[in-house]
Amino acid sequence: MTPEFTLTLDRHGGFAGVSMRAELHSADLTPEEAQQVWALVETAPLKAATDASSGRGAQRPDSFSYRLSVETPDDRHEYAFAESVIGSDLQPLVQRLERHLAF
Amino acid sequence: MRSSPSLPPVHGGAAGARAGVRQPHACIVPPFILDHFARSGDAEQRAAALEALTLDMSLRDRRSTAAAVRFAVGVVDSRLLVEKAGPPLGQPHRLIYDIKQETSGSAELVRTEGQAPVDDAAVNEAYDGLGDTYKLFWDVFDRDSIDDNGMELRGIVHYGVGYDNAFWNGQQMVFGDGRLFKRLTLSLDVIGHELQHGVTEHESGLLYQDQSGALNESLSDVFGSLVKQYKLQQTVDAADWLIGGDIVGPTFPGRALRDMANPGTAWERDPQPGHMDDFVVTMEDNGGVHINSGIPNKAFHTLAVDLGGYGWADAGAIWYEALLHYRLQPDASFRSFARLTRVVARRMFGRDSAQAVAVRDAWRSVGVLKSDP
Repeated sequence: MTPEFTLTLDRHGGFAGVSMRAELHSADLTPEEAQQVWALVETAPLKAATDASSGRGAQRPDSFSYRLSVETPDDRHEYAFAESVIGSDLQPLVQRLERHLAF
Repeated sequence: MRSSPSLPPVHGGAAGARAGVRQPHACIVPPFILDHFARSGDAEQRAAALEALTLDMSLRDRRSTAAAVRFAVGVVDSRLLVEKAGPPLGQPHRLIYDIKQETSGSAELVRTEGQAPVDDAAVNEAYDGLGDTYKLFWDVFDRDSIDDNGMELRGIVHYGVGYDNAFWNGQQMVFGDGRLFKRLTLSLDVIGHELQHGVTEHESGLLYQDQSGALNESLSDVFGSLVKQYKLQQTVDAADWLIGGDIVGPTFPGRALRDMANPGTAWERDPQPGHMDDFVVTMEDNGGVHINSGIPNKAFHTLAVDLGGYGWADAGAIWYEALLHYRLQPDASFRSFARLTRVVARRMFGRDSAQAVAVRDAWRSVGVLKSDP
C-alpha cells in the first residue's frame, strides 16, 4: 500500500553554488507513478548515506550536497548526504527528484 | 556510485628524463639538490633540506631554481630522481576521456596531447581549456601543471545525463553536459576553476569547509578568471570578473553565477557577501564555501583594480605565492591568508611598496583586516 507522501529535495553546492529545491507530491502523480517513486524511497539506503556523509571529508570540491525530507501523514524523516556517497541503490531516487529542480 | 570513473592506469614512472630535458652539465649546484629534497625527499631529507634552504627566496629566485632542478635531472643519482616521460617542459600533457553519460565505469580516451580536434565540441573545449589553463600557470608562474611536475591533465566529459556540474575529484576534472546550465566545458573560467582545485589541493590542502573552504573556492574563482583574462589578454578594467557567464542560458535569472567585482549581484538570488559584515553562517554547502568566497573574491578584485594593468601580474603573483607559502595551513581563515598575502607582497615588492599597501587596503575594504582607528 502506497501512502500519501511529499518528497522535498534540496540540492546545494556544485560549481554553481546555486541552491535548488524539488518537491514531489503523491497527489500529483498517477497511482502507478506514486507506487514507483515510493518503491525507490523504500529501497534507497537513506540512513546509511546520511551516516556515511557525516563529518568532514565526505565532500570533494564542487560536488553537490543534498537534504531530503520524506513526509507521510504519520511520519516525517529528514536525511542529508553528499553526492560522493550516492550509490546505485540511491541514485534512481535522486535522479527522479532532480528532474523537478528549477531555478 | 558517483565516483571516479575507472580510467586506464597512468603511464609513466619510468626512470629517465622527460622528453626535451637538456643534457646535464658536469656539475651539480647544491641549492638545486636541496630544492629537490625539500620537494621530493623522505621525511629526513625534507627536514634537512628545509633547514638549509632559505624559505623567503624571491619569486624570481624560486622560479629559476625550480626550472634548474628540471634541467638538472639526470645528473643526480637516478635512484633519487624519477621523472615521467611526456611532452617537453612548458607543454601540457592532456588526456580527454568520454564517459558517455555514465557516472562510473570505464571512460574512453578520445583525444590525447597533440592530436587533432575530434567531432565532439565538449572534447575539444576541454582540451583547449586545459591547455589555456596550463599556459597561464607556466607562462606567468613557471608552474608545470597541477603538481608542478608535469602531471597529466585529465578531463572527463559527458559525465551523467544532463549533469549540471563540473568538479575536481582528486585526480581529474569532470564535466557534465548540463540541463539547466549549458555544457560546462563552454566556459574557460569553469575549466580554470576546476584545475585550480587541483593546484590548491597539492599546495595547501585547504579544507573544504567554512572559511578555509571559501578560500579554496575563491582561489579557484581568482585563477579561473585570470585564465580567461590571460587568454584574452585583458587588463583588469577590460575583464568582466564574472564566473560562469558562459554557461547560463536564457532561463537563468541573471548574467552569471558569481560576480567578483560586485558579489551578490550576479543573479536575482545571488547570496554572496562582499564584506565580513555580511558573512553568512550556514550548515549548507560545507559552511557556505560558494557563498562566503565572495569576500576574498572582492579583496582580490579590489587589489587588482587598484594596481591596474594585468591581473595576473602583481596581484596574481602575490596570491599565487601566498598559496605556496609554507605557513598556509589547511584550516586557514580569511585573516590568516590575508596576513600571508601582506607578508608575500612586502617580500616581493618592498615593505612600503604600492603593492604591499594595496594588499593591506584591499583586505581592509572587505573587513578582513582592521582599519586604522
